[in-house]
Amino acid sequence: MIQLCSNDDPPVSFTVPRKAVELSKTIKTMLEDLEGFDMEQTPIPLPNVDAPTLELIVKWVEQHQDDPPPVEKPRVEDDDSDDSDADDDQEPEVVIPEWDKKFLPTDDEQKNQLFKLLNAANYLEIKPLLDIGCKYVADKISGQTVEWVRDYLNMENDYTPEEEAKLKEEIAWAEGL
Amino acid sequence: MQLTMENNNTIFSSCLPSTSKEDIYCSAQIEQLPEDVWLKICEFLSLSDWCAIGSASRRLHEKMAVVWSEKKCAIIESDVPSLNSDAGPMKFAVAEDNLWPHKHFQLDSFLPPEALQEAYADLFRLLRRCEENLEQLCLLETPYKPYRLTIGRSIFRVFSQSIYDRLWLLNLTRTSFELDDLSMTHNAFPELRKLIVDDCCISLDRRQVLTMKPDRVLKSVLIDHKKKRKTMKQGSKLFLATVIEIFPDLLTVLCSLTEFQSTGCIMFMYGTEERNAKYEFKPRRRKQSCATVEYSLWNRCISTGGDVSD
Repeated sequence: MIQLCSNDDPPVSFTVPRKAVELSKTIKTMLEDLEGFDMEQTPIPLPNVDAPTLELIVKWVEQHQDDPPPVEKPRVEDDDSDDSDADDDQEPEVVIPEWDKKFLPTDDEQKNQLFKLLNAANYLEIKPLLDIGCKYVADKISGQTVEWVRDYLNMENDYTPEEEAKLKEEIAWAEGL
Repeated sequence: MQLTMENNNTIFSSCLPSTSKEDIYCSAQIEQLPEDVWLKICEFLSLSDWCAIGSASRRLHEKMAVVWSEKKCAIIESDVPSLNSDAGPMKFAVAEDNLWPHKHFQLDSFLPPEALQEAYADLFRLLRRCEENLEQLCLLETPYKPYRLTIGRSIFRVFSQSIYDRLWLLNLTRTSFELDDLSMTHNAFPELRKLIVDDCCISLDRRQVLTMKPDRVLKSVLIDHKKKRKTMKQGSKLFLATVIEIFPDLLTVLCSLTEFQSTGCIMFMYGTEERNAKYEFKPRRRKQSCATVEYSLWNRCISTGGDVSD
């Protein structure tokens, strides 16, 4: 078992099976580098992750610890491959599994948590979690107006009216898409 | 999962922000999302969605600029269906002319237009869709294009397959091309009034540089020719004299920091323009040939099914 510590003061620690925690490439590399140390007794501090986010991460890795590992795309060194090889190289389509749909903090009040989770998944290099989180956000934004996107992302409109008019003119080509 | 609370504080309840604070945290959290995450999100979105995100705030506009710069080459391959809408895009991204360096002999010399059409199928489809309304053609500027792109003859051949009656601005900023190739588009852009070649590298035929007397052409059309001719670069003179012949309505050429060099294996430099270099021309009488007009009518006749009333 491995202990992970949040960045809160005082820190909150979670004890997680090693197999689950190794879904994070960042932590897996750290553990490999520290081979020989008794990591079960040494908590790993995660300076970029707070307790509620870490709790979500731990839940997710425990749920998915027995999943088959994602296939690493081999590095293509030469461009002589034919079209069928090129098709094989394409990333598989990301589908959000049912459990993950319920797991993701999707309510409007939990948006902050969702973006913290994306940030943490990126920092901890948990690719499948990052994929489904980004897919969820993209599905929400897809096909929406600028005002809707601004409202959803809770961004303040910091353009001057002149700048906004110029921007609208610049992206007029995209309105009919 | 085992949760260990250090001290006996109720950390979770104190960690969770109130709803009003949530909004503030949310925008800060979004702004702090690394570019990799934005790139990942944008992988699932179309170009119009990128525009919507970029229009939401200045910070997000910056993030989207990075996404554009990272993804520019993939757009034409992956997002043609969304570009190919009934509205007709007025702006689109084109992948670098990768075909040209490898296959330029076939594409430039031997391939008939049909084969070229096949090689650049997506670009042809896009241009065909918007040729009647296209007013500006711009090979994206920085930050979308961090380095000079090579435009081969085949791309100019693609442009030369149609007539863009409404196109008044051609922006080739940060590209590298041969003047002879640009000449192939003389019928394609009959109404061109402004040409931007900022930070370009333009290759000129050495024989033309040695034999042509560009000042003879420029003295009657270039505004302030007397004042400018002493400081003008040799390459600029030939380039300007050629483009005003190619595009009879051309009034302005911007060529900030543009380099001129010779074609061929042995390279000669013909000068680099000053920053913000700008040349303006007097309006000239059109020298459009009857053949061009007829072809234009014929082409419109084909695309409108015979109705050329306008």
